[in-house]
Amino acid sequence: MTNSPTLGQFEQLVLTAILSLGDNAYGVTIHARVEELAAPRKAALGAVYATLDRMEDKGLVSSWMSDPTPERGGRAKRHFKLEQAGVLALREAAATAQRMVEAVRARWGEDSWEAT
Amino acid sequence: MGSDVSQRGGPPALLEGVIRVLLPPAAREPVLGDLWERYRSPGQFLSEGVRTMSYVVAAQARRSTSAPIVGLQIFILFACLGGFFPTMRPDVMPNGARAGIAVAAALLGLILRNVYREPGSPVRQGLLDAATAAAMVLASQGLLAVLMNAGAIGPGWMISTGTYVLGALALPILCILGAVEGRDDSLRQAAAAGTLDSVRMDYERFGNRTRGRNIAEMAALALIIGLSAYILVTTKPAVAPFGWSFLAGYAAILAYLARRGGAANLPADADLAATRALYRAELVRQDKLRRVMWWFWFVPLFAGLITELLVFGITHDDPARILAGIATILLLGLCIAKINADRGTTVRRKVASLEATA
Repeated sequence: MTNSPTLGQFEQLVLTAILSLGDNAYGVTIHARVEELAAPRKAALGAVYATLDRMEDKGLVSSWMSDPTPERGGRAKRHFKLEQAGVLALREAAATAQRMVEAVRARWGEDSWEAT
Repeated sequence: MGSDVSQRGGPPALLEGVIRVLLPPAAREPVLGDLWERYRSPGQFLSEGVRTMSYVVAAQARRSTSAPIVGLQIFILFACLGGFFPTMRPDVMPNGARAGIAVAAALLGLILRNVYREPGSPVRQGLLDAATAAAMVLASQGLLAVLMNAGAIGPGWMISTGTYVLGALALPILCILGAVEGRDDSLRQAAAAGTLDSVRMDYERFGNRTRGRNIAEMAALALIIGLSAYILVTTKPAVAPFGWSFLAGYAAILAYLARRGGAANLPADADLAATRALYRAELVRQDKLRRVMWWFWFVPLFAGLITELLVFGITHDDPARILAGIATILLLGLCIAKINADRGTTVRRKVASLEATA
């Protein structure tokens, strides 16, 4: 039993996006990856910011500002990375999801994914 | 405007300026950059900017708002706007409801001010907090007056004119709350690396902040002493001796703050160990001073709650008022204790980080 905080579904998506983007995780790219992961559902850019702020306050992620770039009107990017608590929480959420998938497959079979 | 877009490769300057102003300063740079990067058309930029702003404002409000500070702001405004006064006539709107409308308006202004707060000196922050609350109370009363004149609401919704004098007493305390307990990121940062110059600079900044806050607190105390003395002399209440003894206490505190309220000056010849020791000692002393001061600032409010709720409830055989008195006294004490506990935790972390770099 670990003490990592329980993540909501949107938090899981945002943490997964940050993990998969590596050094290129900032608002625009995180939002795009979250929409890929959540497809066909759409996600608001603002909802991603609000979730990132909340997770930073919980110590799950941390952020830093990069140098300004011309394609952004000379503005800096706020980059994000997972902190140890975020890694643990995501690992736990992924393990739970894995067990759910196995349970669903055991009951409905491999074809259950195509049916949806 | 079209040529403006093609030359800049981004949104029209005017549109960008509008979104820029609406975004909270803490999130402005990265969010505006992201919106720039996603720019496709002015309509898309405006629509996405407005939708994003609502989330960012809500997130910033959550991050910048401290529950115990909001609790104290509600208490002090509600009390000074006459919300705890018993309503003597059953046919008029209760004092609590009238004060509640004004407090809600002031609170909305204070929360939005937290969201759009720019960095600045603690004293300036405190003054702007008090000015915001006053402006919002006046605006709410102005709106009620318009609605009343238009016949949309009946009479008795506005706070009485005499209450404004009492309401003015809330302003110095709101100012102190903003100046003293406003977010102090420097206190949250770990101690500077262990060179004499860096620790000395860190301490000088800390000293300047405490001295600024001390001046604000002394000014607020002087204002309260003056206003309270005026009220005592002009209204001659039955509890005047009690009031004068409060004021004597305030004057004694004012004298102490004038002498020892700010952090001590760092001796020019202090070495690294002496600088660290003084820094630690002053952090702890300032924290203790703050603990005592918050309880002291709210002594009159505690007294008011006892007389207006508890004593009134007992003498008028009103159990609801007695229960409300007990609950509000406990809640007020809880808010003060929580503020002190939060600051104590931050101070202990700072002291620990100073010891860690030793």
